[in-house]
Amino acid sequence: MKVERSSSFSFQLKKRYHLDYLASKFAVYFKIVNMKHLIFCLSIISSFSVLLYSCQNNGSSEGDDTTLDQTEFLENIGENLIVDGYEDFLSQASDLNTSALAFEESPNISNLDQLRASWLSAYLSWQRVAFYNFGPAESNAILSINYYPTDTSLIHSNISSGSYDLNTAGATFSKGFPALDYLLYGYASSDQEIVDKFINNENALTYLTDLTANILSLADGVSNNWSSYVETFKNNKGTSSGSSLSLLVNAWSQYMEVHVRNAKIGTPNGNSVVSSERLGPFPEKAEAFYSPYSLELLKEAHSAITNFYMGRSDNGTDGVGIYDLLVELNAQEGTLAGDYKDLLDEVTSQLNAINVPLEQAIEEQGEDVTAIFDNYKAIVALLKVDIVSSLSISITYADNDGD
Amino acid sequence: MRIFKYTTQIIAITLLSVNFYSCQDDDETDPDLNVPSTYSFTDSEGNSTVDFSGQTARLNQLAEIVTYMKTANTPGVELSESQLLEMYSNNNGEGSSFFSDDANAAGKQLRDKTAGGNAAYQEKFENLFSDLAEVSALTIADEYDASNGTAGVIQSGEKAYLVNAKGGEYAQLIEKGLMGAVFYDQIQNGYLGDEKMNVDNSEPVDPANGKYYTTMEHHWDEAYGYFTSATDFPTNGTDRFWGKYSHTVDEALGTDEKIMDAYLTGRAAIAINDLNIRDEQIVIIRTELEKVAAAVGIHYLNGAISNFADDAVRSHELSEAAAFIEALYFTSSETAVISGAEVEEILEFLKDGDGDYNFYEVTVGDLTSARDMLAGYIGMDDIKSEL
Repeated sequence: MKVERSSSFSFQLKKRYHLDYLASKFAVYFKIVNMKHLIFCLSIISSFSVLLYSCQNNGSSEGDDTTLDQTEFLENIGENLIVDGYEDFLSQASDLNTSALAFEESPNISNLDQLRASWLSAYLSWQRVAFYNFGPAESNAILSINYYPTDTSLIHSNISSGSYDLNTAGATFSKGFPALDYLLYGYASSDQEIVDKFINNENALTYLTDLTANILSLADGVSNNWSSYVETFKNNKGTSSGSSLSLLVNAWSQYMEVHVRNAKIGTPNGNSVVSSERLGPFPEKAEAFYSPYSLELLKEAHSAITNFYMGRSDNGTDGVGIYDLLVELNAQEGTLAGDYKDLLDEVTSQLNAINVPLEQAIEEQGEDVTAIFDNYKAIVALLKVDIVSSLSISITYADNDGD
Repeated sequence: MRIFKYTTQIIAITLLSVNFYSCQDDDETDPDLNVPSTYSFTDSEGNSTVDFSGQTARLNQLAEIVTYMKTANTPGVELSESQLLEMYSNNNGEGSSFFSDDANAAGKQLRDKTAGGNAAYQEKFENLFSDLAEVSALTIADEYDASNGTAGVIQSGEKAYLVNAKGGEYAQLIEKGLMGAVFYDQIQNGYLGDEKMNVDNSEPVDPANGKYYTTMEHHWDEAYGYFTSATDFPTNGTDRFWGKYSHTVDEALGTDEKIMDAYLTGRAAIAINDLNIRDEQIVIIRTELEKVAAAVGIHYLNGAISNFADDAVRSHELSEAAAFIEALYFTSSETAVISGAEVEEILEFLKDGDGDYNFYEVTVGDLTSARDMLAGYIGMDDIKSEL
């Protein structure tokens, strides 16, 4: 039984790898030979615990053995995607803070340009880790650095009073990347006027560096916590509600549903899941509304979602992802893994077909954005029903007590 | 494969029955103790001795109040203060036309049972009802404009809640608040307390009018009826109030079975007048319920941390958390693991300088501290992240 499944795994892998990946294919095959051996030994040694396990697991689908080996998956996601991802984000957040301090020291156009470049670079890096909102990210509430539309009147009152605590819940809409988006691009109507406003307002300069310091301190907290949490993460196998796989898929699903489908796309474009009628456009609700980067950020977020699914890390390594787990499970005759990839790729093409900032596309080609929203509805639905059940986990993030 | 599967089931069943057998064996200090599997008890002639209809009526009353309160989660819907107050006291116990027949039982009300009839607590809830009505009158259709410093309806996705200017959600503070100040208090300090337990257990109260139970049996039933309205909990009864929230944390704590077993065993012990066994069950019910309240509090603090940046969801979850933690004030002092002073200390993290709950001014550090302190006091450090 076990050996059969292993060979179907290797067959599927062979299909996936092209000729020019011969070297890596050999490496994978070598691992599988070892894995077969290991699984064979393990299945004899632990036959009694398997007995117990399968009796606990009676609820799972007919004849389906869901004891998936998650070792490589958790190792790849934990080390190559998450830990490396947060390290990159930390270094970008640090650059951002440095640029803000340089601007505070000498507010001028050149330093504004440098600050804007650091801001964009850090914002893009954030898109690549934003959906790991469990464990250290959750306990630091780092997600709070990207809530929009930002509250410009609260920002102004914070600046003029000089009295605020960016760690309170009520500060969420006056901080993070969206607040910086406003201050760096929307604070006045020209670059020189923006610089002048800062020159004439010491509180504003302080607020600016408080914003970047807040991002840096959260990035630092999460990245540091992950360096020890990663061992817990890799060892926390299984499919129960607290397992790493369940935490990952829940966080990923919630992010796609709430932060991508709704916040990035549906809300500014006026789409909702309850009605097919389009209420928008509300371009002012788009992410990074004041700068021209909304589309770039959305593309980065979508690409990160796709890469996570495939198990691809930023350095180009193609490791084990959710896709590979589904292939190994031979989910729904092998079609689910591929269908999902196709759906994600379709959205990539749709995004590539847009050539203007999202807030502009919303006004000029809203139907194209609606089509992306519709595909994201399908992406979320397929995940929450089919993928989740194939992986034998449950969606737990909804406050589903109905009150 | 199939035979293999059945073999494992047979082994599992055998192991389980051995477990059950040995569990029952431990408890069975009295050979006459006959614990049924559901909450049904009869006298020697087969007449049912169980009656908790008054408690079911109060549970129904709260459910109907909640339904009415939540209509104001749609902006533009104004609630009537007089209706809310009338429902709270069931028109001073005379019956209210705002209730359905399932809730409108004469003589049964939530108000007079609030914190054992404590006037300050009654006033606290009456003020919440009045404020709720007042704020609902200010909402305007389709305007979801509540924010830090402004009361109104706050929205996130498809969820919408009516909150005060500091994020407190009236419907939760009232519903979960009354679950603590009425249902939980009535179990902990009312019916399982000495006054209601040191009573006659020899004569049926009024067999001619169908009251085949002794006074003690009836008091026990009343304690049960505040926990659940189902006789076969947790097969049924996991849909509302304490039965529901026990079930919410059951995976982590196993409270469903512990609480139900204790109710069944205690009632069976009363039937044979074995008060030692009864008293052991009282301790179990009180301590397990305390664990439920604390664990649900932790659960909602976790939820608020997860949704920290979402004003609507955070406010909603913190309103639930605060009210469940407040329930801990009503744990029997004979068994309480967490003292009133400790409850106070935990809730401080959710309050502002004015001493009000302020769900906009909290930091993640505050919420984490509240959660960790609560988990530390109740002894749930190891499971606090899973709740």
